[in-house]
Amino acid sequence: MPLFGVDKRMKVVSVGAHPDDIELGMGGTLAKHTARGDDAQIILCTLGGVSGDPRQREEEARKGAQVLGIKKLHILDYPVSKLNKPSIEFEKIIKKVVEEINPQRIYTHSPFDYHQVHIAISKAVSNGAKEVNQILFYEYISSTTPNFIPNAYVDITKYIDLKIKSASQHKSQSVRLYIKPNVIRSLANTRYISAKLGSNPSGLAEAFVINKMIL
Amino acid sequence: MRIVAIGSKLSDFEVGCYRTLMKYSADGHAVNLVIAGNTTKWKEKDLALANEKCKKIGITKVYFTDKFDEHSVTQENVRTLHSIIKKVNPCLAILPFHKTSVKKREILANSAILACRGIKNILMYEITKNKNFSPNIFFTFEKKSPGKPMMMTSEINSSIRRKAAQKFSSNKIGTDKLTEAFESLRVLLLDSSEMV
Repeated sequence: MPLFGVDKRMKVVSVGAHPDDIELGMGGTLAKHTARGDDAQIILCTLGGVSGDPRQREEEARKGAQVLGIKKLHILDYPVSKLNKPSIEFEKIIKKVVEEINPQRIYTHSPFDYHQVHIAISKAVSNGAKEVNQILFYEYISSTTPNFIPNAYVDITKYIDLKIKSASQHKSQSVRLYIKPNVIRSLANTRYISAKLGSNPSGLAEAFVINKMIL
Repeated sequence: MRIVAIGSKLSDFEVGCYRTLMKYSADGHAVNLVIAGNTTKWKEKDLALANEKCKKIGITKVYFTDKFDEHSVTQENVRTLHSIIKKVNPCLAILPFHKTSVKKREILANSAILACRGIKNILMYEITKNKNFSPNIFFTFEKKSPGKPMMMTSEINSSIRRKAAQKFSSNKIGTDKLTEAFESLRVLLLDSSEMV
C-alpha cells in the first residue's frame, strides 16, 4: 500500500482561470498524471478576456491540453469581468461541474496570488468543491505572492519538455517573460533544490500548497 | 516502506499519531519510533517494557536517544537523531509540530527537521491546543473500528486518545469518522510514496 493516496488510478481535475495558467502552473504534474494512466481533466474558466482573441486562445488551450495527454477539457467561458471578486454564481457553476466529474483530487489557483481573478477562482473551488477530499493550490510564476509557502511537490524532471511544449502552444502569449523555457526551467529547478527532493543538480519540480488531503 | 516517528515520550505518539502509525503498520510498512529524551533517567526495566509493548502492537523497532539536550538545538542533538534517521532510511518522517510554545518539544521538532534533511515526506503532529497548527493532511478512521489493543503507556486512557483523534474533525471530514491531523512540512506526490 502507498503512504498517501489510493492504490489505483486516480481521477484528477485542474482548474485554471486563463488558457495558459494550468500549463505554466502544473503542466508537468498533469503530464505525469496522464503518463501514469490517471484520468486527468481540465476546467478552463475563461478564455482570457482582453489578452487575445477568444477563438485563438481556445484553440491554443486545446493544443496545450493535447500535448499533456488530457482527454477532456471543460471550457466554461465565464466572463472575466464577473470574476474580479468572489462570486456565488460562479461557485455554483464550479460545484456543478466538479460534481459531474467527481474527481478524487482538484488542483487550482492559490489564494496567495496578486491576480484578483485567480483569487476568486481559488475561493470558488475551495468552497464549491467541499466534497472533494483533496484540494491543492498550484503557483503561477508571474502573480504568486511570497505567502505561497509550498508543502507538497511533484518531481517533473522527466516531464519538463512536455510542460514547455504545452506552454509554447499559447502563441498569442509568446511575448510574455514567464512563458519562456528558461524561466519555466529555472523555477522548477529552484523548487526541486529548495525542497531537498534529491541530489540531482538538474532535478525539476512543481510546488503546491495543500489546502486539504483527506486520506 | 520505512517510516520513522519521533517524539519525546511514548504518550506523544499515542495522542498525536497512534492510529496513523497503526494503520501504516497494518498495511505492511515498517514503523520505527525514536524516543528522544534523556534515557539515562530511565530504568533498564522500563526501557525493556516499553520496547516489548511497542513490538506487540506492530512497531518494528524503537530507538532511544541518550542525553538529548532539551534546552537548545545543538549539533549533538541533530547528529544523534540524524544517525538514527540514516540507519532507518525512511521515506516518511513524522515529527512533533515545530511552532509550539512548549520549549522542549520545539527544540526536539527543530532538531528533528534538521536531522531529516533529505527525507522526501515529512508530516508534523500536535498534541496540545495550538493556534499555529493548521493541519492539512487528515487520516480518517472508522469510529466503530476497535483497532488493535494497545497501550504503549498505561497513563493514557482510550477516551483521551479518542478525543485527541477527534479534535480536528470538522465539516470537511464529517462526524462519522475519527481523524488524526497533520501539517505537511513537505510531501512528494506522484512518487512511489503515493501510488504504485
